[in-house]
Amino acid sequence: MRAYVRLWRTRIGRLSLIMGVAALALLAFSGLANAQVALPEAVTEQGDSIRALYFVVLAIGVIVFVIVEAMIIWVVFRYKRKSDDELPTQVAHNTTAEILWTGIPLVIVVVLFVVSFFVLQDIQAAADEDEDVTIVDVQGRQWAWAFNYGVPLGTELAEGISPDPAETEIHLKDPSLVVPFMTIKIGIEHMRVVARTGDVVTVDRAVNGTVPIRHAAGSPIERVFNGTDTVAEGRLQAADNTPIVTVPVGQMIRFNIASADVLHAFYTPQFLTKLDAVPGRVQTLWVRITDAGDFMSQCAEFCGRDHARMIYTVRALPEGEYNSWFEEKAGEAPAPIEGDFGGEEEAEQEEGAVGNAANGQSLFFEMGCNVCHGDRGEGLVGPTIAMTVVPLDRVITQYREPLEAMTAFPPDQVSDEEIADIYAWLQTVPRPPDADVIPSKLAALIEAGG
Amino acid sequence: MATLAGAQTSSYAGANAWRVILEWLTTVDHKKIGIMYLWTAGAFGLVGMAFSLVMRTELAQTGTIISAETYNSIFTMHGSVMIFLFLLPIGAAFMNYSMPLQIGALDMAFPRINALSFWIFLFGGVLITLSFAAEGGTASAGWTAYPPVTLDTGNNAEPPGAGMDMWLVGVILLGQASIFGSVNFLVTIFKMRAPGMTMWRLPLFTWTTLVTGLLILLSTPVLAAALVLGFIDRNGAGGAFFDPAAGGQPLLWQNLFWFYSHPAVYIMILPAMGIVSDVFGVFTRRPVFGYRSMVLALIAIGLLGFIVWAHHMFTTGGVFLPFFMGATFLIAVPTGVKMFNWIATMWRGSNIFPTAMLFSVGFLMLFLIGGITGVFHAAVPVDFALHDTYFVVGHFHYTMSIAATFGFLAGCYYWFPKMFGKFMNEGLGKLHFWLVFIGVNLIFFTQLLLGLDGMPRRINDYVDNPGWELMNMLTTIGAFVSAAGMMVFLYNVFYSLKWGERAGSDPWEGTTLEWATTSPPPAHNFDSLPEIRSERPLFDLRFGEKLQDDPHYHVNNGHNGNGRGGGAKAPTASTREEA
Repeated sequence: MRAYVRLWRTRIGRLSLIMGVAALALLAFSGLANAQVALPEAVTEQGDSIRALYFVVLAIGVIVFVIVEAMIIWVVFRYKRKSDDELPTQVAHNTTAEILWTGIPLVIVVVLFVVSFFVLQDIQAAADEDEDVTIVDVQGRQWAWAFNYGVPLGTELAEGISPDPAETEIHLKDPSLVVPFMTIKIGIEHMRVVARTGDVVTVDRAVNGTVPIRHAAGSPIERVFNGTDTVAEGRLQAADNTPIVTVPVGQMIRFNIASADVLHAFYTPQFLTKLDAVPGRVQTLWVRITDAGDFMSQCAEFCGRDHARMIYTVRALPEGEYNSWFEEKAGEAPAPIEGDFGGEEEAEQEEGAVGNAANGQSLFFEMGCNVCHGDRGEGLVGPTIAMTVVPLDRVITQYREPLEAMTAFPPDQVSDEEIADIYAWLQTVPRPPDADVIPSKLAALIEAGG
Repeated sequence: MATLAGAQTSSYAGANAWRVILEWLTTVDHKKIGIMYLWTAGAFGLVGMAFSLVMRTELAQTGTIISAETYNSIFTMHGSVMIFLFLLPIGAAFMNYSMPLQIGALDMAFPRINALSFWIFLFGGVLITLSFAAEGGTASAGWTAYPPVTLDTGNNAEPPGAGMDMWLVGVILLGQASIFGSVNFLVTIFKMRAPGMTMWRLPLFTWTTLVTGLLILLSTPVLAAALVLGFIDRNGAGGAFFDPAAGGQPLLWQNLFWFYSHPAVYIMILPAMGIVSDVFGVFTRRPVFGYRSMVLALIAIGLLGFIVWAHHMFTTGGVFLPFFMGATFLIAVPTGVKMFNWIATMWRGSNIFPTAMLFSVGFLMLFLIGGITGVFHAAVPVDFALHDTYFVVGHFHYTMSIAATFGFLAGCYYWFPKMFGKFMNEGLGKLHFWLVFIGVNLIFFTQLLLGLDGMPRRINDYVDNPGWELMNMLTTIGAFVSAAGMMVFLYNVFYSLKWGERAGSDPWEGTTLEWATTSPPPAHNFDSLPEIRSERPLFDLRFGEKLQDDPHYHVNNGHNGNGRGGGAKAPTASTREEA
């Protein structure tokens, strides 16, 4: 121990040696690690601006670091006490120096502020009014992502709505682009679609005035992923088994970011940006992608147990490829349901499910579905589910991983077949002609059809 | 009581031990309370470090060793313990111990409240730690506890259990202890200064105590309010403050939380800055350069600290970005002033480098990196890229965690002889310094690189992007190297308490009043005080005469009271009153 203490008490050289070795070791390790000392290459226009700003800050930072660090090391090694009675200068201030080292940093931060401010304006800019825009509704949930692909901003999907809340309905130009439970935007209000009949969509919240729909989400929810999908052979994967959001290169993309439960954050490292998904808010992130490719992304705001597994991939396709992909997807959307709300037959035809309506009825009460949805599926706390137009596979997903407040039912409690039975029975139960729950025109349609 | 009586009759030594224990349990002496804070905070610090080792072991490679729930609980407790139970109280430890000595006071203004605040702190700390035994485990939503993941909203898949409530109540208690403490510090500094100790003669550590006290007093009630609202929300009393499903606003919590927790960053770092300022003043034999600009910079940091809270929320989409960006950039200016003043203090100094000084220089180097990486976050667009990645983890550890800890370790080595009358071992001290200095840079510089490459924080497992596994392994190695350094420190503390070299009342040629009394000081602190005519009365005593012809050396003559230009020369050795 004593020899060691002696060793450490010697010479400046030993200190510098150690610091040198430490610095070399750090550098070597960094080299080995193939470490990035810069942000990733940006694949968006906005990201390019951010990256440029990063290099401005980095350059200033490195210069300041080198100068100040050199000053520290210099005063440490240069000014050592030489004798016990040495008394150094007692200079205690220097107005010029103090003004300089207040003023120069002030100028630097003012410059940085101005540059950052303009970059911020630039990256937050929305698309031009006459520009084609791709809209993607993003919903973070514990612990998965749902992506709802949009149609270009400005596409008129419907003619308008009635000023009377009870009469709220939208006449669709192309019903295939609308699915139940999606959010459409009218003016500045968001409305949630609860049901659809032919060319009429009913919504659960009314907006006064007749406003052309400027934007609506399009094809069905691509896929709702479970966090566990991102694990293979016990390791997290960022490959094909993660949720994929497909977007075009070159077009302005508007991500409408929302959350179903707690805070999440939409974060694609190669976009060099992120935006929190805050429950109760819909936030907008504008990007224009410049490079095609698959970009690994993941939730960046702590959201509970499987936060680390909320991985997804942004797949940017050249515009032509994107368009054919989108058409294919739009084709998969459930076909519009015509006026006839015919029971089992219809359901079977639609979903290929063979449901036993009688068994379904008893299951409905056994499992206590009636507690929330009413004895005839008319809706109490839960929504109306009699004669639901939601496709069976989506209903099964709803049992397994419920949206909204419903209890989850794992397969050991209720099998897919049993759900099909319940579904079949629900298709036989007429919706109550209650104007409070269902807008009158739809009710009239139901009566006419059923 | 029966046990006590039994002990008293059984043996004299036993009775004596009981008396010592009782004395510590009932003490209102600021020095004893300070030492209790020191031991308690130190113990919590080791616990927090153990948590960090668990995290680093989990993250060393991809794949998982412990469950996600356990990891979330551990990282939450690491942050909570380190911030609320280590960094904040260890600042309070030194402020309690040294500040009254530095201003020549007999004790704190309210000694009993001082004791109360320690015991509330301890109770709150124990409550938070005990939450490991709660059903559902500890709080597990990070030390920031952002709702709604902390709430049972009906949508939240796994709402935390009673541990979260224990955390909320524990932190309320800690906040209460802080508020009591801050009032005590402020009144003590304003009302208990020795004759001649004007505001412009306060040692810089005392100035940092004053500004820290103000920050605590003005910000902690806001945190307390947020915690109470959170508790109401969680316990079904119909609050709906933060629950979006019930019409609440989750971002409200973030605003309230950071209105406290940003100033809290300064509450942690300012005392450390005060310690290194004093250390530089002693081991360079120079006045701390730009004393007044140091004080003004301190006040400016404190004021700006209140208008930058939303820079923690740039990516929430819920704040006015340009204002908070500008205010955040501005903080670089007073921080830069302090940095340059410290360097200028060593410039042309007669510098020696005992361990306390090494840690102070280490503080400068770490804080420099922390400050510069802070500018990256201040630039909002760059923050969009770096927020919630390991870059921010590296940044805040460089500043408020590791730099602050280096300041406090400097304080340990510096004041240990005063507290216990013995030196800490210098050889072990230097080994400690180098292990920790290399270790923490390995951890946190690597984390900066990981963050640039896009690795998010608070994840228990990661996709093996190129280099991530290797860089994470380096970080883990750094964590264990630092931990080894801290073990050396722990050994040094006990070694020095037992076998440490005896230190006199003023072993370092100190400049401030705590060195004018015995080590350890008597209960009443001072038998007599030297004349106070500058911010370093003991330096004036020791060197005043020798420096009489130095045109730059001034002490105040007591009438112009404000400055450096005062004409009087130093007191002579005959006025020196030392035991």
